[in-house]
Amino acid sequence: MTDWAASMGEESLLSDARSLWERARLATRGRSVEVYVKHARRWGLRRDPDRASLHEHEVLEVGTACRWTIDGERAVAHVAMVGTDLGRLQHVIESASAVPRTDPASLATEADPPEQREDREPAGARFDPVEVRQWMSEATSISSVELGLTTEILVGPGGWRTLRTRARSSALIGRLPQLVARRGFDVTHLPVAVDERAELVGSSPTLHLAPPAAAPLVMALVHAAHSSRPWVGEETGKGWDVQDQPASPEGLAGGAFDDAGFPTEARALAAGGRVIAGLDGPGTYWRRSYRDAPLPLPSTIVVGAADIRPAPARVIHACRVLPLDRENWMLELPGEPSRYVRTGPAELLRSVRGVFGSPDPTPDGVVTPGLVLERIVLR
Amino acid sequence: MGRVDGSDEPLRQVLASAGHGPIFVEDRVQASVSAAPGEPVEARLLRVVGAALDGETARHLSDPFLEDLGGPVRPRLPLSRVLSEPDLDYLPWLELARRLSEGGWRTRIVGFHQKVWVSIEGEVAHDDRSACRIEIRGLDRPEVLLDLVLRPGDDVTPEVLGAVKERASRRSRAVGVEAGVGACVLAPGVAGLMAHELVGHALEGDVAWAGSRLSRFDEPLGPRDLRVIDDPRRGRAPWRIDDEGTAPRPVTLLASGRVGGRLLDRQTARRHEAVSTGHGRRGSYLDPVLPRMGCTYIDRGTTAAASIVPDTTRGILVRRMAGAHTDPWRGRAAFVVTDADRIEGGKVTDPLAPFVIEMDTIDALASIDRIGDDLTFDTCIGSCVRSGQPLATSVGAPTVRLRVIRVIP
Repeated sequence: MTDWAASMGEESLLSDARSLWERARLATRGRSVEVYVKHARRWGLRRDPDRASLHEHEVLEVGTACRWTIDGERAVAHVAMVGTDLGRLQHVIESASAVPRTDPASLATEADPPEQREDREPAGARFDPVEVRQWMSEATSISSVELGLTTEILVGPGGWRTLRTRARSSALIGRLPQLVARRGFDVTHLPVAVDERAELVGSSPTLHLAPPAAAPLVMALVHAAHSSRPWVGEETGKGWDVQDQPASPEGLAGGAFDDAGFPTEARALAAGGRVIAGLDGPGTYWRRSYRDAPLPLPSTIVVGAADIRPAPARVIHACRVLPLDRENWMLELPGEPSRYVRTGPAELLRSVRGVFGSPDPTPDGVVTPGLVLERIVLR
Repeated sequence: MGRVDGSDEPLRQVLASAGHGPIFVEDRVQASVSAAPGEPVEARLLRVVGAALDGETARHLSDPFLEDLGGPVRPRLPLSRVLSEPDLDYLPWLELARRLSEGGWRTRIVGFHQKVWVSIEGEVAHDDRSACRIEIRGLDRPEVLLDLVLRPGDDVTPEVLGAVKERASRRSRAVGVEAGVGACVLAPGVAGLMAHELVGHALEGDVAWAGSRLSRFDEPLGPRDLRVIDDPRRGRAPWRIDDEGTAPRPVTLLASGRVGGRLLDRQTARRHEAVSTGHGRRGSYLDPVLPRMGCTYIDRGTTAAASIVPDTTRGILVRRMAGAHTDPWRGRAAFVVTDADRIEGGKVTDPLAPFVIEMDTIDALASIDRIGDDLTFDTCIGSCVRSGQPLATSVGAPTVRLRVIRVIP
């Protein structure tokens, strides 16, 4: 049995982060400084094109990001680098003087360290490579599987520190590989088959999107209607009951504090047929990777399940959102033949009339049941 | 960005003495500069150093120590401290972006300089790759986009900007396209994207091995003068060795209406009982090698390009496709068309609001009836993402006409 959480070298990473922070303070001449270090370890198996043999791989990625106040404390600069080398950090901070960059997410201060300093993966990070290999040998629809443990350390102004660990497992399934992902290392929770049936017939004005088809649509709508300039007050369909839940136990992203160290809390974005909030301010600052500065972003979006209908016989299992311009989207529903829906985000919000089935976590960062879209014109 | 530390000699020594499985090392600097009227010019710089060791268990290491690559080297320094940093002269981009934003344009410039070393059984091959592109959009019609390859010393002239402005003005009168099927003329370069999606992806070694629809097709398709080629040495982001150390060669994917070669890396070459064509690429050191396209193009035809629109009674003229995706198993692709005009009586008339076109590989190739003599590269610029790995690719084509295309308004 391999236990990554125990073999992580956490103390050494914490010590590295502290040294980097001290070097950054010197390099920025004592400004308010934050250092973020991310260590990712991934192990996986990939099926050979002949589908007979499995190739093993292991990935070790370490990156550092640093932010500090500039322009009389009014703005924040950001640099990132691979590794944790002190000399390189000094070099990139000095190089950054020629690179204009301001950061939309504010820096926490010395006075507001998060109450909770550690946020560890509750289930730990133990797995048996032999068992995973055996499982994948039998699950022949799976072309690759990967288990990953990330450890993120933030050293904030004044030297306060946070630590977060997350374990995730993912797999690619099917010929047009479809990604599935779950929290934790228990690969037996991953689905081993995806439904690729095309169930679209006629021109029904009601669509039932299964969770894998609903998730990309949910995320596109969250970005359109619940960003830092939310459409507060905009009418939605009854099924658009949406929360941002950083602490969701099924969430692939999120945590007790955000990537700038601010405490998080669940935030209702839409309820009662209206948009009520967007994602902005402390508690919503997340980094897409260590290379990117924190931005107001969704963590884990959970679609409400207050009025769940039973799953219908015919559902759609895949949906692509193709933006044509700011107001117009095309939804592609792959099938034989593929069908299309020309619509826009405002119209789509109103057409989400209900939900069905049980909520499923998806790799898009959405936990959602199926969505019922009504008044739809298929092309 | 200034040079730091030494040359690549310590790395070469380690790689040459490592003696075991293939080792891939990359040192990449990438930058993006963006600007819009009334907003500050912003730049981002990133240097990435890492290695992939393709042994029994492939190991992907972020900024490893030289010892990790196979030999004792003192002092113990991370790779990024040993190498000369790649040069990426992005400072002129800041000035260009500032100037364009003052003129009312939204601008984004992205580029990279990547140094690659590949070691196989002590033989070390090296490549030095770079590419840069600029996107210019008008604020009022953001879908009107000018994509240009930017080379050192290049400028964006007032004539070029004037053409974008004129196009944006015309597009303010865009009308909806009618649903259905009809003729489609693809402006110079645009059909390269069609070749990339419909032909290139279907003939990537692993996809073809697993039985993509096109790879199984054994009948003549398309006109006799249709030739589709992938040549990684051409286009905006060429490579001289691939990420397995193989020099690339052009592969003719379609010729005389027949499916021809496959794009192969070492692994898929073994499956096909052939040799690698030098198309093995990684999105980064973190990713496994896949057979990928470099510069996919439709070769020059014999029809006078200027005659193709006048010879079209009714149809659409596609000037730009902004995105696409394909299903090589079913042999289908969908394209988002963001700039097009209607053709009526052999003349270009109304500009058309954005729409989607769907193509079936076999039907689309069979439907090509004109191939112009105006081969053009890189009018549609973008990255290709496959299995989560982005890669800068090129496409090219002359003006091409298809008799029938499915338009989804």
